[in-house]
Amino acid sequence: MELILETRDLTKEFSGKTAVSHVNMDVHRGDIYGFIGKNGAGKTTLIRMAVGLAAPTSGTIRLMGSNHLEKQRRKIGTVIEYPAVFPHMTARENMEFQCRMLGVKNSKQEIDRILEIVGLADTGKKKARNFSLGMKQRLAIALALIGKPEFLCLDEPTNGLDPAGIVEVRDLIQRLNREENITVLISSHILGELSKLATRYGIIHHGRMLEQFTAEELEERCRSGLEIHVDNREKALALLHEHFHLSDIRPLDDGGLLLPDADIQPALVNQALVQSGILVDSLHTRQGDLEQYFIQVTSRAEAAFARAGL
Amino acid sequence: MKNLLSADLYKLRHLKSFWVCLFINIGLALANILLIQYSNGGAPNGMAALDYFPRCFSTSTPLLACISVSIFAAGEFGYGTMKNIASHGFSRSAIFFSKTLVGWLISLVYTIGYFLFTFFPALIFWGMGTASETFVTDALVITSLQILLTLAFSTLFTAVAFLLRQSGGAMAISICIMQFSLLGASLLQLFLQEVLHIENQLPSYLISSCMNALYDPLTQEVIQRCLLVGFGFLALFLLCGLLSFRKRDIK
Repeated sequence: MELILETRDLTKEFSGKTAVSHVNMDVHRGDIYGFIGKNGAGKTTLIRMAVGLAAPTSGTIRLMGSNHLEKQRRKIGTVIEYPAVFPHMTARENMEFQCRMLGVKNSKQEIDRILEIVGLADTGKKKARNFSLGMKQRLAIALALIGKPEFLCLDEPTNGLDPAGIVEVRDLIQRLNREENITVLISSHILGELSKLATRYGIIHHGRMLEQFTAEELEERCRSGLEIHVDNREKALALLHEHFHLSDIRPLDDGGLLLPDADIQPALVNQALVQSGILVDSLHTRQGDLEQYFIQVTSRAEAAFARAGL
Repeated sequence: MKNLLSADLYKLRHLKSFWVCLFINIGLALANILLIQYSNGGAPNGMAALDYFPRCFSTSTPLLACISVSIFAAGEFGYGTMKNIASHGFSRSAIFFSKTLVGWLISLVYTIGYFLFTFFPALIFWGMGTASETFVTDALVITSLQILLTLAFSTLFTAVAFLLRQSGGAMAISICIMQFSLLGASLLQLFLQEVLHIENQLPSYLISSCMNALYDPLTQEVIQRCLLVGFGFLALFLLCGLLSFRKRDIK
């Protein structure tokens, strides 16, 4: 599938401090790409480099398969950090400014169409400074939609929104992706919300991309059950089949085993393994959601960074 | 570039401070003439409108232009709308030049506004007067040089706005440069003369000094100095603003 955004070894340093380190990121056409990371992990910096607001220290960026970034950026809509609108203008005037900037013909029809999509068609002469945060956020998304972008970069678009506002923005993003065929990169640390939206994920931690995976892969990885790590996986697998008659034991990428949701007592599993001479490194019940998975991945990375002295 | 300019002009039309400063500018022009007319009992030294021509350009105009240009250019950073522009693949140079051109337009409108609302009331109160043989040429030269110097000032305001990226700070720094550059240049002149024994006329090479010099009868030396100062500072401020904008990331 065509890559809309592709970064290779992308690095950004600010006065000696590395904010983004050798990041390889792939956003495919049609994705809603959930970009996950703690505050300060490097999400915003990476997006700012992708859209041309910050210059990379090293590495490459390709947009829609091309190195001609200035040209390709015309096809991108962005909302970065907070809704950037002129407070002294109405929604329509803000949109008109954007239309002129992008040379949009028939701006009136385009503005009407987009204001209808984002639900701001009846704001009339109300100035943007008097909008609620949710309305400002929707206006910012409306501005990003001018010029029929192929790719939307939304950095924390639900920041500061109340629950109703979050649902509004989520529905809007889903509609844009489905109905307007717009690829969306959305960064957030509200993982519960993100998991309702995203079709692909990337986890960034301390400026490093830890993992990229699809929603299906996440579902697979988040399947709940008993996760065990042992010194001899093959032997353990055979033993567990034999003792507990489980047909669906899954080997994990990190060398562990996942015993599916079943009525198994962890203590009995531990006992059986130990009695067979298998060393058990860890054994715990796994809960299946993005939040848990994120914590698991970042904790593992923290430990790896510590071992490597990073 | 054409699209950016069109968008910036649209934004200028909706910028309240531009219109407020324009009305203040016109008010100052009218107040100035009315003050002369009614406190001195008529034109100074029996001047007519044509004699008053060089004084129809005010040194207070750059101050008002400073306010408008600072809000216009630096406001984009404050509202965050600069991100919307820069993320659409426009070159930094195009963005900077578009703002600079609109800044020039603001200064030009204020200069012309002040001129019209000084010259025509003067014409009504004191009559046209008689034009000397060189009047047309002198008027053209004075107008051109005043505009050039105003544009140099305007470029300074835009460059400072892009450097500081904050309306209030940009305004404060630009006003300080306007107000205290004469003091700074005079101190430097003194230092060069007394300590290094280098004779110089440094304070004369300021934009405001050149604007004032155009109130007096024109000489070749004044014209050359105005051209040098006007084009020199204009190029310098353009370069500073452009380089700083191109090098730094947009937050």
